[in-house]
Amino acid sequence: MADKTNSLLFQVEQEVAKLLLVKLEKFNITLERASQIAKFILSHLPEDLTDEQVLKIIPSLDDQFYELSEIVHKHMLDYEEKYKNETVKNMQEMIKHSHFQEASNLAFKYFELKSELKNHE
Amino acid sequence: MNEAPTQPIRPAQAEVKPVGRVEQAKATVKEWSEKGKQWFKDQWGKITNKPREVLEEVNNISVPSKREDLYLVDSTEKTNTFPKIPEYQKENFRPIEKGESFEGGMLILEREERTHYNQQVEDLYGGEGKGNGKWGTVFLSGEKATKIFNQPDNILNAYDLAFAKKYGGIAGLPKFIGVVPNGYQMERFHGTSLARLVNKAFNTNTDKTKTSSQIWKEILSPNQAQSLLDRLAEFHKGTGRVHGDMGHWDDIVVEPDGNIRITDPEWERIGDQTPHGELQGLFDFFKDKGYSDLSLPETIPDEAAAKNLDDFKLEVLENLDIDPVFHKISKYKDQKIDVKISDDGQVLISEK
Repeated sequence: MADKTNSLLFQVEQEVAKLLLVKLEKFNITLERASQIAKFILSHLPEDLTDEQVLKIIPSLDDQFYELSEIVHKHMLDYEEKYKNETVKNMQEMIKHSHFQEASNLAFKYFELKSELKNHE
Repeated sequence: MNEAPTQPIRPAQAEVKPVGRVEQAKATVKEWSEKGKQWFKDQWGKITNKPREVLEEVNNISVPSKREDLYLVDSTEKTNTFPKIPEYQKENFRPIEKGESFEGGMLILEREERTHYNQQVEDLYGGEGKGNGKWGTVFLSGEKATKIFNQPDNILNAYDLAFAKKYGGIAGLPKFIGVVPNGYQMERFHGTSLARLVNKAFNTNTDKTKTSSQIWKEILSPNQAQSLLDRLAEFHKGTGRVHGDMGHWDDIVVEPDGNIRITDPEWERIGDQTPHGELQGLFDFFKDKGYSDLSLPETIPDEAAAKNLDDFKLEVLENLDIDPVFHKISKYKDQKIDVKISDDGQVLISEK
């Protein structure tokens, strides 16, 4: 069985749960609002989502709940950092081995995903 | 000698009142408090391995429906008939008025103040729609649009704010109104973004014989396309820089009278864009869409734009106190307001 604790979904669930508990403990959020946010996350991020699917949903999470904007922003920055470096590294490898078409496909995929994220801004 | 009483003497009895509502409420609160502590302990225990269960628990929180559930209310208590002056008024603080903005530098709210403020910001500045973005949310009300930054201490936001102040109203940019805590207020555009017009036109088109070029002409007339090019050149001349995000069509607004406005220049990903390149790119785009009679307006020299932008950024930085470790704004030097939160969570303002 795959270890779910490494998934992006698990990470986002954990971050939102922590955020809500901290806010509730400090009386920085109403019970109703916290309940609405939890409900929203549970319904928008079903349990069987892949990392790629979660990544596409993340930018829209703070559209209704500004409380989630810090989590959204963090993941978008992480994405920029992680995938950009990873893509460049893989492309260099492919070009080194004359796999030009694969390198081009990889770059295309990166920009496609980036453009989807950008459209949510 | 007195005779023994025929009836047993009843002991003097104090009148026993039923337990008051205050006592009941206090007992309930005490009980809740104990349960609450345990609830938080249980949830924190699950956060490492089962965060989804925590979310389900939070989702199932029962929300109090009556005032009595939240406050200790005893209707038998006498109320003080003399109006009490709130403590904050003695310190010259007062509640922020709806839609109110201020002069000077932006005040940065953090942590608890920010949370309270964010919960009230829609009531203060919104009501007629809002737009969320990566950097902030714009709330609409009347003739005002109020932008509240997600990360008000980010230096890029200081550029945005200073630009809006300095160039608001120039080249069709929204006029600047004033600062608010964690954001600023500007003129509201009463139009539709090009992005929305394009989506609508292409999504609702059922005539398969229409070419992309024909649909584009229904979105923007040739005169409007020319007007957009002229606006961009005007933007370059008026502000001395490139816009940097003309591909983001939410930044181009068509007003009900057909007038074109542009807004929200880019700060983060300008790269090596130049005024001539930006204008030519837009010109080529429209040419490709079948606008054949457009003329390319004059714009500013490319080298000047790069230098102007650097100079502008330096000028902005001089008016900020920057945290040297995290490279974030700790304070705007010309701040004219102060904020605090009242005991009941209201956001209060004091003008210096």
